[in-house]
Amino acid sequence: MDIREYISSGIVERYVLGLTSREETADIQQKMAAHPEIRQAVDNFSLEYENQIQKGAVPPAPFIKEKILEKLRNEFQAPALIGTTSEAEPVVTPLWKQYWSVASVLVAVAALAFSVYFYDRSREFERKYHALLEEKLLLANNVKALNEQLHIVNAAGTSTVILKNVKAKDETLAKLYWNNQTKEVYLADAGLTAAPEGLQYQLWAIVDGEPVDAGLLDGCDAGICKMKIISSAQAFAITLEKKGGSPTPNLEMLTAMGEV
Amino acid sequence: MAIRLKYSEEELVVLLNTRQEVAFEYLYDHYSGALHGVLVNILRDSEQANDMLQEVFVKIWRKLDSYDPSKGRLFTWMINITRNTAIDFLRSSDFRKGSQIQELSESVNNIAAESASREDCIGLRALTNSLKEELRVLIELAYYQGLTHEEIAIELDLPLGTVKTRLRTAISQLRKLMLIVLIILLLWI
Repeated sequence: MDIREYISSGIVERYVLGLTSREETADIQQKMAAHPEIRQAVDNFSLEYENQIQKGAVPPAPFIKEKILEKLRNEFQAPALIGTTSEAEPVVTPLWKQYWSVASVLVAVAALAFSVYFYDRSREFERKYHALLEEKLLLANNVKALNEQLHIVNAAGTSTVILKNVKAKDETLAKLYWNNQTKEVYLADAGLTAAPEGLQYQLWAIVDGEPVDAGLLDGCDAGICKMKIISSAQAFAITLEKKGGSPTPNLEMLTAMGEV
Repeated sequence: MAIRLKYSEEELVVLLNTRQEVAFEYLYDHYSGALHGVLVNILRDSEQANDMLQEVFVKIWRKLDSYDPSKGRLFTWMINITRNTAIDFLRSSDFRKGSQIQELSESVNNIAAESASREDCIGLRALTNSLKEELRVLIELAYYQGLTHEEIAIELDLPLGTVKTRLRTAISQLRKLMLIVLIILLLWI
């Protein structure tokens, strides 16, 4: 099967829009599992479609939310952090002892006040718990990214090139990992300051004295960017160029350099 | 104190699996407008759309177990449930018996006149309306009324092959329009 042809056949769009037949649906789902490119194409169109649907949003009547919450009331799980909710115990009071009935009212009021207070507290804890949950997921993603980075750095054939600040030679601005087998180039840009508005950092491989474009630094979330494949180089350099990059480096804006 | 949370889809799925009310509220607060818009576009009746939105969210909540991330994104899955619910309703005998609806063939003839007069169209429907007539009708029948290719062929008295090619052209033009909208949106921000 020619995957590109399959993707451009229109089946991806029809699948996302829900216009495929049962057989076609089963077929594309199977293909998605086998070919990441197809899955990617489905996700890409899904995002465009979702964006379009979000643009056409019409706020529903405000009371609808309450009505649905009411319907689902019994299906919600209690939040994990909330213990047993304190309910005011019915206080048995002999009617002939007024003292006691007054006391019991006070107890009931206090219990109610406490339960309101603890309910509020528990809601707050619940929110904090979910903030932590989110943070945990973010950390999990960071760990994954770091593991990938470690894998790249430790791969057989990877050598490290230290790119130093051309103005202050001791300062390491970036580390470059170059694999002599796969010829892949990765750049960890931790030391670089953010590029000024309208400008962008560009990496160059110096091959026999000639600068060769090795790609633009475009916000590497994981702290490491995959650059262009470079088959041989004596040195690497980073310059500051206008957004989108330049065909030749602006040497006045040379920022960092390192020899292989 | 307010902690504002924003979840990615992956995180949202984790959150939803806790089956807690906060999860539902997040889902509702972020997606009810969009899904309601889908219903308004298909049903063209805002009161009915409000009623059906309740049904849709209850359905989504109860069917969450059957959402399979390997088959597509969560939001798209929710949109499809919404669209299917609305279309099932449109095609149900209950609704057809109602006086508010014309017979199918009649409705096809009316599509052109009707949408030309509609200026309050939003989202996808607005884009659909900017397509050439012969293409727009196909999106109308397939996407908004849920007809199969075969039914459309009968309805429009066209060969099945023509229906398929035209639908493909229509969708690819729609996609181009969607991209233009996206770019304009990005430039705007």
